[in-house]
Amino acid sequence: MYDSEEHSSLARFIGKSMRDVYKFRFALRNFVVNQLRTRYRKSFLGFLWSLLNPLMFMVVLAVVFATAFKQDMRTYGIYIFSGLIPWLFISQSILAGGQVFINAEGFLKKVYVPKLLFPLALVLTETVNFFFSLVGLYIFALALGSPLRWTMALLPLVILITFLFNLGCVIIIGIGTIYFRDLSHITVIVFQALFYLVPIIYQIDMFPESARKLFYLNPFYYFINLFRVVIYGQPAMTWADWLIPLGLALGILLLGLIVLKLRDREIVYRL
Amino acid sequence: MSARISIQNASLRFQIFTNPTPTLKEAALNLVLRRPRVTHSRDFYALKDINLNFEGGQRVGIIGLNGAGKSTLLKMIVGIYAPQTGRIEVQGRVTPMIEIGTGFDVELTGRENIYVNGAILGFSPQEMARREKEIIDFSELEQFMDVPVKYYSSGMYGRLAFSIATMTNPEILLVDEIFSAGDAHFVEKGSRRMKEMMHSSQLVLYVSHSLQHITELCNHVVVLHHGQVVNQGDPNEMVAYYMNTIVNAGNL
Repeated sequence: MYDSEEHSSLARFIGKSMRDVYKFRFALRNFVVNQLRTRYRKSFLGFLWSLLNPLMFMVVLAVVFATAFKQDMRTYGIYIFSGLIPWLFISQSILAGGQVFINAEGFLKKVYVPKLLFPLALVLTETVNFFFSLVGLYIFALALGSPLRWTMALLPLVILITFLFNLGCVIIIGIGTIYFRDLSHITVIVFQALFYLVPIIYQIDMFPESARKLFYLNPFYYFINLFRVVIYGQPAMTWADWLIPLGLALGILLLGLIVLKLRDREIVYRL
Repeated sequence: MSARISIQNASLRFQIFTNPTPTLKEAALNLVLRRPRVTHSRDFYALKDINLNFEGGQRVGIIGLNGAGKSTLLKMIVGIYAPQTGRIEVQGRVTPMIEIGTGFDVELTGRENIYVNGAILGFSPQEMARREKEIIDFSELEQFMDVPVKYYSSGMYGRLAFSIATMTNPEILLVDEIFSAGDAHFVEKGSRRMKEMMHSSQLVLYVSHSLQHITELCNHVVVLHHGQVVNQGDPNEMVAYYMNTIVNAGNL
C-alpha cells in the first residue's frame, strides 16, 4: 500500500518511516554486512587496521601530552582512551554522513528504498566498527592497568544514546550536503578544530571556573563526558550526565526527522 | 484485497538546474558580495494532470514517443518520484521491472547478489534460499555463481537480474522494456516467462515500443504524449490512434 499523501503530518511520516524500515530490514542488514565486509576484506590485516589507527593515535597523544603536562603516562593513557573512543565514533559517523545520500543515488533513483535506511545503515556500520575497536582497545587499556568498573555495564546504554545522536546528525548533514556539495569539506575542518575544543587530551579542570562554561555550550562535550564517567570513573556520575546527552540525542534525531520529512520528496530530484 | 492503482490530478515536475552542484562557498560569497543568487532552474513537466484508475484483472499497455513520460509514470507509481501536486494510491505488492540490475553490488558474487537484490525487493534470506536454485537454473549461470559480478559480461548481468526480478509472484507488475541484454535464446525464454507472470499477476502495467507486443498482451492501452494522457481504451483502437495522430501526423 502506497499513498503519496502519507506525508501529511510528522507523526504519520515517522510512522511510515518505521514501517518502511521494518519492511526493508533484510536490505538494511545486507547493507551493513556488505559495508563491513568490503571494509575489512580488501586488506590483509582487515579489521586490525581499524584498531591500529586509533591505537597509534592514542599512543602518540599519550606520550606527547603526558610528557608535556608532566602526567603519569598510564593514567593519562586511559584518560585519553576514554575520550578518544567516543570522539572517533561520533566524528567518523558524521564525516562519512555527508555523502550518505549522494552515494545512494543508484538506489534512490532506480528502486524504491526508504531514505532513512541509508543513514541508518551507515551509523549501524560505524557502531559495529566502534564496538570492535572498543573491545580491542579496552584490552590495551586493561594492560595499562585500567580497572574494570561496574559502570562499564552501562556502556550499551551510552552507545545507544550516542547512536541516536549520530543518526540525527547524519540525516541533517547528509541532506545538507545535497544542497551544498562542499559541506563535507567544511565538516572536516570543523571537526579538526572541535577535537581541540572538547576535553579529550586535556582535562576540563585545568581551566578556571569562568572558562569552563564555554565547554558546556558544546553539545559534543556531553557525549565525551558520559563515556568518560562510565569508563574512566571520573567525575562522579550524576543524573545530568545522562539526561543532557539523552535530551540532545532525541532533540537532534527529531530535528533530523523533521528535515527529512521536509526534503524527503525533493532529494531524488536534486541528486 | 484486489490490486488497485488510483492516480488523481498528479503532476510531476523536474527542475533542471544550470548549476547542479551548488556550494556553500558560493552561497556565502553571493551573500557577502551582494550578488544575486544564481540558482536558475528551468521547470519541465514530465507528467501533467494525470488521472488514471486501474483495477485487478487489467493488463495495461502504455505507449508514447520517447520522452512522453512512460517510464516516469512507472517510477511515480513505485514511489521513486513523488508528484508535486495530486495524489497516488497503490494497493497491492508491487514488483518493478523498470531498471534491471539496480541494487547489485559489483564487488559481491552472483550468489551473494541474489540475496542483496532479493532484500531490496523485500524478501528474507530464507525466502531467497528457497528460490536460489530456481534463479540459478533460469539464468543458466551455475558455473559463475561464485564469481564477483564485476567480472560478468553485460549479457550475464542482465540474465541474473532478470531471473531474480521475475521469481516473485507480484500482485502488481510494472514492466519497462527490459530485453536489451541477452542473446536470442534468452530473450525468447524471457518473453515466455514474462507472459506467464503477466497472466498470474492481478494488475500489469507494460511500457513498450513494440506495438505488436502491446496488442497481443494488453487489454487496455493508455496513450501518453508530452506528459499527458491523450487517449485510452481498446488496444487496437489506441494503437491506430497513436499511429495516425501522433507518429504520422508529426506530433499533434
